[in-house]
Amino acid sequence: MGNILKLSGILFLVAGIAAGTLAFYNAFTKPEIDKLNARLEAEAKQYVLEGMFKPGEMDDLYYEEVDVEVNGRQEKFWKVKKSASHPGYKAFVFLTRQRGFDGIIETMVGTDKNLKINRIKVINHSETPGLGAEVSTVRYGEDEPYFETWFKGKSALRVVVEKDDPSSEDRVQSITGATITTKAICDGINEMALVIDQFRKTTAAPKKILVDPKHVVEVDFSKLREDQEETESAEETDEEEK
Amino acid sequence: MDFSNLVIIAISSIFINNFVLARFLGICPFIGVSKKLDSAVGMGMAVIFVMTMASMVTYFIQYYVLVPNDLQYLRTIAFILVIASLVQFIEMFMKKNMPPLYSALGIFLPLITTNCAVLGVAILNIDTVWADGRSYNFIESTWNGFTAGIGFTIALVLMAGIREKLELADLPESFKGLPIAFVTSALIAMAFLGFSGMSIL
Amino acid sequence: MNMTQNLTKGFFKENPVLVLALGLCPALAVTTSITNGLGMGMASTAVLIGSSTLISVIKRFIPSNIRIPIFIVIIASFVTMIDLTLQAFLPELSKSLGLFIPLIVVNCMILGRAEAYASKNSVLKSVVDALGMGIGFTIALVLISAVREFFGTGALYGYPLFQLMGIEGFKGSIMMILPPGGFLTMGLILAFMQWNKQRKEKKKEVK
Repeated sequence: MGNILKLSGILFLVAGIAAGTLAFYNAFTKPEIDKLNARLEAEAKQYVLEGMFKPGEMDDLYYEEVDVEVNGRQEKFWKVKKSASHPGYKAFVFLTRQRGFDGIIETMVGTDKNLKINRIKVINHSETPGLGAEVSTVRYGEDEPYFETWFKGKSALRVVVEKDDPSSEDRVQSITGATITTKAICDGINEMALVIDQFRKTTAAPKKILVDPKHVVEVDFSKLREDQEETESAEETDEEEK
Repeated sequence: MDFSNLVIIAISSIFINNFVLARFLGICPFIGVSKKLDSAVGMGMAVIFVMTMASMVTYFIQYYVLVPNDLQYLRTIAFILVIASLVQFIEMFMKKNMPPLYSALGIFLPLITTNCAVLGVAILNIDTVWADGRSYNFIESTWNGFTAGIGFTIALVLMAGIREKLELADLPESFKGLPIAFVTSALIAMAFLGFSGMSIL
Repeated sequence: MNMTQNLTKGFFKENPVLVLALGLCPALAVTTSITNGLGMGMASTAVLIGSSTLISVIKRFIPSNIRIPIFIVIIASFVTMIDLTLQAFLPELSKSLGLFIPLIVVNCMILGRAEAYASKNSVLKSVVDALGMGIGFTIALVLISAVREFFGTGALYGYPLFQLMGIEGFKGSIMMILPPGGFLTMGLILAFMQWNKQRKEKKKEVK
C-alpha cells in the first residue's frame, strides 16, 4: 500500500512539475500569440482595402467597429474612414465565418460603400488539401491566391457560385471538386453583406440598439434574412409598377 | 436536442470523414491488427468502447476543469493522461468483473493508449463546430466517439477480410506484407472518397 | 558502435517510418506538400530530442513500473511547448498541420525511442540517437511528400518544374494529394525498399 502511495506521489509530482512548466511557458507565449493575431487581423484589413485609398492614407485609416448578432452568432464589421475625425466613411471591412467542408472558414472582405467587393482574403480554414485548400493556394509566379481574384468587383450582396446561377453578373467559378467550400464562402459574404446593407439603409432605430461610450453599436438583426427578402421583393414590384 | 444532428454526425464520421481512410487516424492498428478477421473484430469492439468512454470523460475534463480555470493549454497533457488511466481502469475492471469479455478484448486494450484515433476523437469533439459556431454538446460528443469507433471498425474489418484473401494470392515478392496492405488501403480509400461529394452539413 | 554510426543508423538502415513502420499517421496525413512534411518532421524531431534528453537525464529517478505514464507526461509537455511556439511564431505551419501537432504525443516513434533507448543509455548517446531518428523521420516525410506533391500538382516545393521547363499541360492528379495517394505512395515506397533489400540479399547469397 505504501508503495502505491509513493508511486502515485511521484506521478503527481511529475505531472505537477509539467503543468507548472507549461503554465510558465504559456504565460510567455500567450501575449506573443495575441499580438500576432492582432497583427494578422490588421494586415488582412489593409490587404482587402488596397487600392481604395491613397498609399499614404493606409496607415491612418480609422475603423469604426460595429458588433452585430447574426443568426445567433456574434459578428462584427468595420466602417472605414480616412481618419477618426473625418465625417463620412468610404468603405466596409467585414469578417465572415461560415462552415465549409471541414470546419469554419474565416474570410476578410473589403467593399466600397455600395458593397462592391474590392478584395477578399481567406484567413483561416481547415479544408482538404488539394481540394478546398485551393482557396488560399498561390500559383507560382503570382502574388495572390487565384481564387481570391475571382471576387474582385462582384457585388457582395449577390455573389454566387456559377453552378447555381450561370447567368448572374456576380457569379464566381467554383474550385474543382470543392463546390461546398466555394459556396460556403459566397454564402458567408452574402450574409454579412445583407446585415451591412440593412444597417446602411436603416434610418429608424432597429430593434435593440446599445451605444456605449466607445461608440460600439450592438444591433440585433436576428430576423434579418426574412426582412431583407421582403424589402427586395417590395423594391422589385415598385420597379415593375413604374 | 435535434435528432437530425446525430444522423449528420453518424454519416460524417463513418463514411465522409472516416477516421482511418480520410483522416489518417489510427493507421498503426489498422495496418498492424488487420491480418486476421477475428482479431480485427476484437480490436474494433475495444476501440468503439474506449472511444465512447474517452469522449465522455474528456468532455467533462474540457468543460468542467480546463475551461473554467482557463487552462486550455494543458489540454493535450490532460487528455492523454486521462485516456491512459481510462484504458488501464477498463482493463482492470474487465479482468475482475467480465472475464469472457476480457479474454476477447484484453490483449488489445494496452495498444489503444497509443492509438492516435482515441486522442484524435477527443480533440475533434472539442474543435468541431456547427454552422452557428456552437461546439458539440455532451450527447453529440459521445455519439461522435461511438460512430467514429464504428467507422474505424468498418475500415479495419474490410481490410482484414481482404488481407485474409491476399494471403493466398500470387504476389510479386517485393509487395508481400506491408506494401500490398497499403496499396489495398489506397483502393478502399478511393472508394470512400466517393462519399465526400455528399453535402449534408 | 561509434557516434557516427549511432547518428546515421536512423537515416536509412533503421528509418523509423520506412523500416520500423512507426509514426505512420503523421507520415500519411500531413505529407501533402514538402513544406508540411518538413515542418512536421522538424516539430517531431524537436519533441524527440527534448524528451529523450530529459528522460535520459532523470532515468535513475524513474520507478520502472510507472515509467510509461511519466514518459507520456514528459512527451506531452514538450508537444504542448512546440504547439505554443508554432502558434506564436509560425502560424501558417501551425494552421496547416492542425490536429496533428497535439497528436505527436501518440507518435509511437517518440515513446518507442524513450522506452528502448533513452531510458537505458547515457545522455550524449540519447541525444545523438534522437537526432538521428528525427532526421530519419524527416527524410521519410520529405520523400513521401515530394512524391505526392510532384504527382499531385506537378510541382516540387512550390516550383512547377514542367512549367519552368516550358512544358505546359502536366497538371498532376489531385488523387495523389487526397488520402488514397498517401496510402499508394507509402505502399510503393515500402515495396521499393523490400525489393532493394531482397536484391542485396540475393547478391550476398551468390557471393
